[in-house]
Amino acid sequence: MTRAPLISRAFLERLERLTIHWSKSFPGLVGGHNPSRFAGPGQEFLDHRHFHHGDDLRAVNWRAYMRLEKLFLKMFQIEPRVPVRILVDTSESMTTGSPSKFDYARKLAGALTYVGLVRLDSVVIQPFGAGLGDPITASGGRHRFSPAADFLTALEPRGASDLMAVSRAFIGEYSQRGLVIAISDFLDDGDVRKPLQLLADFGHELSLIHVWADEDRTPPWDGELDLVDAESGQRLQISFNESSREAYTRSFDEYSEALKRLALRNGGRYVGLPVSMPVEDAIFGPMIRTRGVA
Amino acid sequence: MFLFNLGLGEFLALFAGVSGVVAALYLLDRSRQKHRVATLRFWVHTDAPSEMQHRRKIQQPWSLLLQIISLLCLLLAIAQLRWGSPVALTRDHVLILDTSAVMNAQTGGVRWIDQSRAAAKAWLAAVPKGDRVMLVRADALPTAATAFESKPAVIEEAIAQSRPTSSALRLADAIRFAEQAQAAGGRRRGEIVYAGAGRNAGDNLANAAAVSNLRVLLVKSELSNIGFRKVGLRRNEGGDRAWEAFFTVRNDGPRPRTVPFVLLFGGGLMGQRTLTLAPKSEQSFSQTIRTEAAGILDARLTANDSFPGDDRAAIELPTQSRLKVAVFSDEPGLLKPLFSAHARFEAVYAGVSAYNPSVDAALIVLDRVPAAALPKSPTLLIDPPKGGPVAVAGQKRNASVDVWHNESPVGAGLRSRDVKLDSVSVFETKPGDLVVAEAGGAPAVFARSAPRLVAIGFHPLRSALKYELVAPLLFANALSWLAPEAFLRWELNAGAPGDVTVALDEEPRPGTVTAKLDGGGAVPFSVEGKTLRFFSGSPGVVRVNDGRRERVFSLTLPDIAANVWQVPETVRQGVPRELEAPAVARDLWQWLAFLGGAGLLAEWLLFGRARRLFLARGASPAAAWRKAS
Repeated sequence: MTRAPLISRAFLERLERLTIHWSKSFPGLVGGHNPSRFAGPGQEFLDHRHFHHGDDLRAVNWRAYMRLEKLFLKMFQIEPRVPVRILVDTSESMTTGSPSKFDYARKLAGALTYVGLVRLDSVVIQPFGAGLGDPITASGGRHRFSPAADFLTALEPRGASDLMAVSRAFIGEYSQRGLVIAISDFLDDGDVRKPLQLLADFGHELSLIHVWADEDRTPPWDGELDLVDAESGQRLQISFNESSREAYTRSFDEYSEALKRLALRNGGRYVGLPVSMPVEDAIFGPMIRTRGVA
Repeated sequence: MFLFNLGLGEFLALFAGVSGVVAALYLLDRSRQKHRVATLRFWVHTDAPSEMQHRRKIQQPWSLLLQIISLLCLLLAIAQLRWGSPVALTRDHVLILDTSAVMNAQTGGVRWIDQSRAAAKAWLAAVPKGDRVMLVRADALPTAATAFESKPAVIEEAIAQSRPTSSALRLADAIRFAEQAQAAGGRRRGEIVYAGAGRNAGDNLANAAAVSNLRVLLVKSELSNIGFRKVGLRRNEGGDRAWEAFFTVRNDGPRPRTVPFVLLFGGGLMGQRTLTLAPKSEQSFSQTIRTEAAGILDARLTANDSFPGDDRAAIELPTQSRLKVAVFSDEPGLLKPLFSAHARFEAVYAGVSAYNPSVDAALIVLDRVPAAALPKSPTLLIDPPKGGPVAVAGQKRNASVDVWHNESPVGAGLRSRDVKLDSVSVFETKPGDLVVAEAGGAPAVFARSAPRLVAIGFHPLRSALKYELVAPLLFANALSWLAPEAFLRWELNAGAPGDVTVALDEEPRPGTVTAKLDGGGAVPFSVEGKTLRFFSGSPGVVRVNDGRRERVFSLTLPDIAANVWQVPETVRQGVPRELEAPAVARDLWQWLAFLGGAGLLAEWLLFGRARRLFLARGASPAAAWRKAS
């Protein structure tokens, strides 16, 4: 039996015109299409500076020397090739809700990977749960999308999530700073703000894509509920009514707001996406508005 | 307060069952719902106290209570809870108004039907408010004039519109009809009231005394009447263009009567006599009427009695048209006795040479005519020569007719001894021809439907057959087949509507008998052996035709029942001052149904899925996204 493709061809064609954007400039990285504040061997003129011993004579502005009899060096803007790393949450909590948050996250990751490949970015898809899973690196153009799509399709949700352990492992694994796109429901037992702050402090640019099901934000149930945590299996028996629902939604919104503040404070981005919104609408709507892609 | 539709036990059993189902569904619906969630992080912030600690099973007792009370109301509505006593139910009465023919009679200048109407209205005034009354008009067939009505004005209107009919009363049928109507009415049985003269044609009134709720309102019905009971006319079998009229007159009065009888036709006096009848007796007599004309035969009795409706009988005599026969023969003397023997034939004779195919006659006889073409009218061919329109296969000398086909209508009843004929022509027949007789294995006599003809291969009156009975019978059969209307016999009867029994001459073949109204409509009838029966509920003329005889029944005489019902002493009589007036029980089911429906609606809005749907709609995904991003 053949599986349905992760992303339809029509959607991929619409993604061709998009580019993954980041704000930070990362030292030591060349190539790519995002402008950098660092000077280097680029095509676009940046500034002049005085010549110092050891500078490349090819960069001397000889016309200025003829006029002013001083050596000035032309500086060019480099186009760094920033590594794009997409963190995909594969914990059990992603399987709740309808449609599944996990499927939604996979499609979203696939779409962003394709956008990066079209612009010759190097995209690493890094699944995570309690720790980091086996990643896949996709680079070299759009024709390399197929392995990445197969990788995403083959992912299976399991276990709990531990973002602190994941952050530590990520810093240890990827010493080169870059753009980190985290697609998750960010529902960890601990405080997820600390591990995310750790990533930002290390120098990564955070782009948080918060995925939730409608029942995650506004549970539709009433009365006596017997709740089971999808990750830990813990049970909670609770009486739920209208005022409880309002309090629950308020807590959820406060949590989302905290994530948003953390991302923006560190120069990153935050997008909250309910799974009831189609992935195509999410890419061409909220993602573009927050300039995660453009 | 009582339940009309259900017993208390039935109601309690139903209520217990329904309550159990509701409670089970409630507990199933309100039991702790198990859900798998992404995290418990936000749930712990909800601080609604758990009711589970206090009530182990019922979480929303008001919801359950509301449901059970609502269902109780609906069940009570179905059971038709009523306010009042069960014995205080209103009743269904049936008023049987006699509309038989005799109700046209008068006593003291007042018609009996008017007396009955007055008695019925007086009884109606005594009926308590709330009771329902059905009016049944009773004659030979009981007919409901109204449904069970609680409005006296409707019944009074129906009483005023009731008219006597021509048939006699069958009271037993009417009482049985009333009992069935009361049983089907669904309420308490009230009275069955008969208002009339009690003159009954049926004889099954012995059981009427057993009808406990029967009441009789008899009118003053001293009948001093003398009138026609039957009138019949039949064509005189002698064929001398005369009618034989039969009359039956009855004296219903208590004294002997002498009345003059006159018979008029076309305004002229055809006969008169004086009749003397003993009390409660009938007298029959006949009168011969010689006329060929059509007209109204009017028989009258100058009785001056209390029931003038049966003092006159009128029957319309049909035209006795004669059948024109053209005979072409060079020996007409042989055939003249045949046609002069029947009064309906009017024969015209001509020689063979005068034959013309376009001759104007209803029947044509060609005696040895060398005709090149056949006429359009039915034709009897006697010994036709070769070369004519009928193919002659050959001649047989000294032959005899050895086979007669009695199954064919032309050959019915014919047989002959071994009579030698000098010469017999045999024919070539076509498919569909009826072979009547054979000579030497070849058709010697045959009949053909189109064109209608009978061909005889010999002259019956010139051969040795002229001394045999078969010769006139063969002519009679052939002429009857060619012109059946000439042999059709008439019989006219005047009688009363109702069951009519007709004695046929012979057992008819299927499809040969018809019974029609004068206007052309068919009348249902049954045939058993030689007896035909039909029913006519209203006055009219019915024609019964069996192919040989047409009987006309002029069902216009009123049917006066001879029996007077002797009302048993156990049966209540007369108009009561006032019937027992039960208190009216009040229906509550409308209110209970409304309360039940409103309760269920309120429960649905307050506790049911309506609330959940409302909540689910309030949390739209788009709103959530805007808020969080």
